[in-house]
Amino acid sequence: MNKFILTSFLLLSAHFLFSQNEANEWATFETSIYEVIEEYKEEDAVIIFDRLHVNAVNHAKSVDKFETFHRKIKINSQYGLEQFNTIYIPSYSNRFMRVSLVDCKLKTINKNNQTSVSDTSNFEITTLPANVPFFYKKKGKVKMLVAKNLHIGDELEYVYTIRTQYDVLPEYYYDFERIRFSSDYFCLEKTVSFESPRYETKISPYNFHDNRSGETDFTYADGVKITLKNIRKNASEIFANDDLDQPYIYFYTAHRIEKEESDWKHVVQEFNPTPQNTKKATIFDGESLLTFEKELNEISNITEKFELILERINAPMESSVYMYKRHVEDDMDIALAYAYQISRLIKRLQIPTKIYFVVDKSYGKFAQDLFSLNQFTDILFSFKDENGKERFMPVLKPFSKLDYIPSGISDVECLIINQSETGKKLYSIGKTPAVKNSNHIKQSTSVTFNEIIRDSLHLTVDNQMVFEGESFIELSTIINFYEKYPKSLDRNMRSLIDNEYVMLIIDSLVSYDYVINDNNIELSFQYYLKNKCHASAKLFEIQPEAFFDNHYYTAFSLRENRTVPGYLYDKPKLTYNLKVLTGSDFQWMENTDLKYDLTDAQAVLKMDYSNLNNEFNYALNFKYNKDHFQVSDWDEFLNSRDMMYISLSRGLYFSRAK
Amino acid sequence: MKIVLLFIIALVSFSVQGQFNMEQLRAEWGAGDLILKREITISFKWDEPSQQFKAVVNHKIQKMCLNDWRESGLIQLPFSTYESIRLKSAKYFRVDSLGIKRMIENVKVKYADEKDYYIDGIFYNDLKVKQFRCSVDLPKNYIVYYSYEEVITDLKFLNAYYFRNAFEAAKYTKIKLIKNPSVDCAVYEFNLSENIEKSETSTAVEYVGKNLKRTGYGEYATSSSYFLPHLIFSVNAINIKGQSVNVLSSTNDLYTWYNSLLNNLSPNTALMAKISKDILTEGMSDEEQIAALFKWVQRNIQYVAFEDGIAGFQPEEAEAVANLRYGDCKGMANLLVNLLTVNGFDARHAWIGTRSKIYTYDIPSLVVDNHMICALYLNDKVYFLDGTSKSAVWFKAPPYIENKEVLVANGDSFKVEKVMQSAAAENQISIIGTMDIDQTVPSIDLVIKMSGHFKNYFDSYNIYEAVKERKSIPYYMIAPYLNGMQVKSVGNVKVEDDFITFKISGNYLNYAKSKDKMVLMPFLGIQKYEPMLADTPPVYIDFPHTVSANIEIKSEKVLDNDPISIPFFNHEAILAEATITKTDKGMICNQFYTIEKLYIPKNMASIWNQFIDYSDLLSSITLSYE
Repeated sequence: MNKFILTSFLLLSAHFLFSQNEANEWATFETSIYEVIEEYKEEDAVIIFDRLHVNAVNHAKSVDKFETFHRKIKINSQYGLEQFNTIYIPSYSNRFMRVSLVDCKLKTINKNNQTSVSDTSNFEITTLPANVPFFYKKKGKVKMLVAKNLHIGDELEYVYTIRTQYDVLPEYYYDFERIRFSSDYFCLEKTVSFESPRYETKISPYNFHDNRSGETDFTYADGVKITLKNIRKNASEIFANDDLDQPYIYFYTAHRIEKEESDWKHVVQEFNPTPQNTKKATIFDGESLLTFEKELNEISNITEKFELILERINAPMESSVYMYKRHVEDDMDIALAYAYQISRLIKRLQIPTKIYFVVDKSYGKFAQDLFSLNQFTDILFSFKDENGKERFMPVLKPFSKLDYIPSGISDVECLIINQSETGKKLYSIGKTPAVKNSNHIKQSTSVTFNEIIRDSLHLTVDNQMVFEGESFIELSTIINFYEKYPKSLDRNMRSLIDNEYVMLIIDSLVSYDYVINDNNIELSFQYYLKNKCHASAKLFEIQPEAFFDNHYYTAFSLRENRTVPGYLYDKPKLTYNLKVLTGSDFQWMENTDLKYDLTDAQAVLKMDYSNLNNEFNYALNFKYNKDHFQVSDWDEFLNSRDMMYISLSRGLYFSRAK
Repeated sequence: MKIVLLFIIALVSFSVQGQFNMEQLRAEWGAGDLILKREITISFKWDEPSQQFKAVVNHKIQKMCLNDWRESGLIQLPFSTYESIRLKSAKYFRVDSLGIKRMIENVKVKYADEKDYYIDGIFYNDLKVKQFRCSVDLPKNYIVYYSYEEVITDLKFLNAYYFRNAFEAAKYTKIKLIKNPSVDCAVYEFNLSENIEKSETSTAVEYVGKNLKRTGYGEYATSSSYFLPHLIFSVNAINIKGQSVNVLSSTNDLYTWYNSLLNNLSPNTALMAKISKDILTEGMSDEEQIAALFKWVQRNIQYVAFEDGIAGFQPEEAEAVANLRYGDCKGMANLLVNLLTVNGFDARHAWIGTRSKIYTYDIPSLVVDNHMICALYLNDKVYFLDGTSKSAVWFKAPPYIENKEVLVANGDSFKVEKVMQSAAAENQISIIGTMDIDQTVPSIDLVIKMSGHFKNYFDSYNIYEAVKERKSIPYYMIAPYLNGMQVKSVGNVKVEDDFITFKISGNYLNYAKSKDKMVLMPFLGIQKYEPMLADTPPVYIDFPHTVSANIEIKSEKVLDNDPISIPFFNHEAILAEATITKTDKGMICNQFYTIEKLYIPKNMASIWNQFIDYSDLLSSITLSYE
């Protein structure tokens, strides 16, 4: 009876504070009991349910977003206990928003239905310790609370509401987010709901497909609530990508979502760079794009015009440490802001252009039924040059040149806005060009045996590396940035080489040099090594992985029972050469197993050697044949990794010459 | 003319003195921090409001950073509740092409940051750090001058000052104590080398260290207290208006203070009894009860990465720890003592310095202790129970406190006990198996047996690791001892009371095969340590242990070898032996090593390196097959 009265009271009072869904969660918490969960007993923990309710409330000049999290977790092991016995709630503020805790309740229930309620009046405020579970990985300060009386076999349940205050006029408030439904633990139920009376919300689910039946089913009601059951945990397998395989939703909340917004035509019409939305003429304190229109008009060659535009849009990012370190190139809001400006500029130049809106392959696919530009992760512009060839200009890619298309957005379906020379816009669905994977790393390492001094064999190591394709783009971006700061260039380059390309701990580089060409970078560096070698030792061993990056080890627990496909985007082809100059004191002990040829559907690995006149050469060529593999391919794929691992880790033996 | 000439000479001399030859400095001192000059001056001042003496420590540092890849020259100065730090000045300089120092920035120290401080990922809520940096990009070689005043309000917390840190070199360091007739302060010296000179007058005692070289990197290194030159200052007593007041004149004073903190506690015996009732069952022997209570604390109280009161030494109430289900070492020790006591056991609070501290209670200083455990007296023996250790069993102390003195509470007095050092025979890894070299790639099948601390570690990983990782635990435990083997399968794990066994199979890669011959390096690389060089720290041994391997090599091939004779290695607590024996079935390669030490000091470097050489020698022994 008491519980009934309490529940009723709570429901009634909560009505005035929370949305209906939120109020239900608080009430449910009060009356919940121990649930007998038979599934996944062998797992560290099982998420019985994970519910999120979002409610936006507007005021005169601001908007409050309330998020209520209600979770119940069954603890099955010591590890699970330590992962979940502490909750961390974000609490921070900046000039755009303030996050604060409204209320929190936490309890544990044992199998006898005995409940321990934790005192939530005394959170510790701290920055996040390193070993926190997935729910809470956020920067900044958090409130921390440990659950009382939690044992293996018990269930932990908590509900809390946080409030985010946005200083924005209600009519301009919108929220667009992607919410993952999976986590590192099996989840029996996940629910997300939106209840914002003054706003409309649309939900678009992905990977909720029916062929997951037997594991999942879902309900989708009212367009404001979505539930999925029996969600498998994330696969921690090599090259797995849960972003692509696991269920997620996009949601979009706005003051008013017009019916006409339910197609791309409307979205394209809204993409209208007016003076108003390009009024803030500069981005990152760079030069106003519109002010150099005159300069562009003096250039007759279209390609040169776009080269100059690219140079100008990249300049602020290339010279700002802050921008570089913030990875601004990953920020779609900024890319869109640029797209508006560039579109308007090109219109004023009376040049027809295409604007490609794309989703990176590693993140997902273009959702044709989700009519929002916020789903995209990248933007490309194109134009026809003097020869009628379509050329491409990337946006937000510092140090890039024309026609650079990152491999993640190559050959993917996309939205294309065709803008005529008068600025008229039409849309189409198409594909970005397929760019051949030219990613290639060549490394030639020469190891010279010098003398034995006090039980150490002194070696001189000379490396020549050449980077092509995506590797070239990545490295040239870094080096170009370093070159902007000549005083620190030497320090930064030495640090880069030591951290990335020297496999052992050394005192320092003796020397280094680099050349950035149009399509590759040549990097050379030298260092000394001392390897233990007793004066009377008959053998000396070198392992190739002392000089070449060997990341082909497959953890023992990941070798068996592959469950998901793997994705390898733009992995480089490798050409390694190791030359060992032994002098007359040592000679190589032949090992015919160093000649090896593996060619199958997954990879190509060729190993060879030669030994002449105290010069031993070992050559390795390796590349993956595909950019993804299926579960059925795993054994073959693993074999190629194992062979590559062995080829770099096995010892090369040199005996003392008689 | 002469005057002009003298003037020019003086000018040049002056310039030369102010010049830094960077190449020479780098060649002489290596990359990293070089202390050009450090002066630490300790004095005592009477504080009228508190009617106490406080220690005032002035620091002046001139540091050169060579090949420094850190950003903006961040300098951090940690301090606790009982200290305050006042930055006085900070300046950054570059060295121009003539070697002359040019100022880059005079830091506005009053705006220096004060932040929470983490040590090894643990947050201490009463430990902060004052920090500053240069606001512009620094070149890779730069100089920083800074000075600050450290005031210690509770003289118990005056402790250690180092001549240099582990990765620093120091051209000149002076540590000076200004004597105060009302403060009786003792100085304890550690690892002082011939480069450090002491001088003493009636007013001060001064130590000056010159040309102190940097320590190199060692993978298995002891902590700094083992090898870095440093001084510990401990105030024995102070004279207040003619009355002598003890501070820390002896271990007794140290214990008196510790005990006063225990007297602040209010044990809730009823709650402890209630908790015990849920843990223990009727008919349990004493040993079973102890084991159950100890396991309960290990498994139910989380050592959260959150220490309360590093400076306070005050244990948390047992009731609070039991209710919250988390605590630091002091809280967990207190809970364990309470649970055992309420069940009639003679359990006491005990303070200890872990093996990261080389000190004993010969020094009455807080610096000696950094941990709290429970001492249990049972059947004329004393046991040491550490609830923070996931791998320890109640009757075997964890390895990081072996051979350490323990200060055990005994009412108004105390006892100094010692944690026994385990024997290598208790902690063993045995590797037995066969190698078939007639396969395309030689295959190897092994049975591994682990006992003692190795077994305890396995047990703890099995309980505390994520389920998905547990299958890999045997592999990760044995991998460091299987150099040359590519492991393909692990299984048949059997857990007994005193040991575990499991099987491992894979390929063996230490060979060279030509068209007509196969050369095999038959000895597994079972030894993981590195040599001790002149500039590397002493070697830290987790615990005394023995590792042995017995491999039978099966082959139809014809052996083309002369008999191999391998010497025996036996030097002061380090033993090693290897043999190769021919049998009907093939060859048997037998090897083992035993280390009965907890660390290898610098004066044992020669012996240690001979042991490493011995292991290297084994790896170069070959068997040739036709």
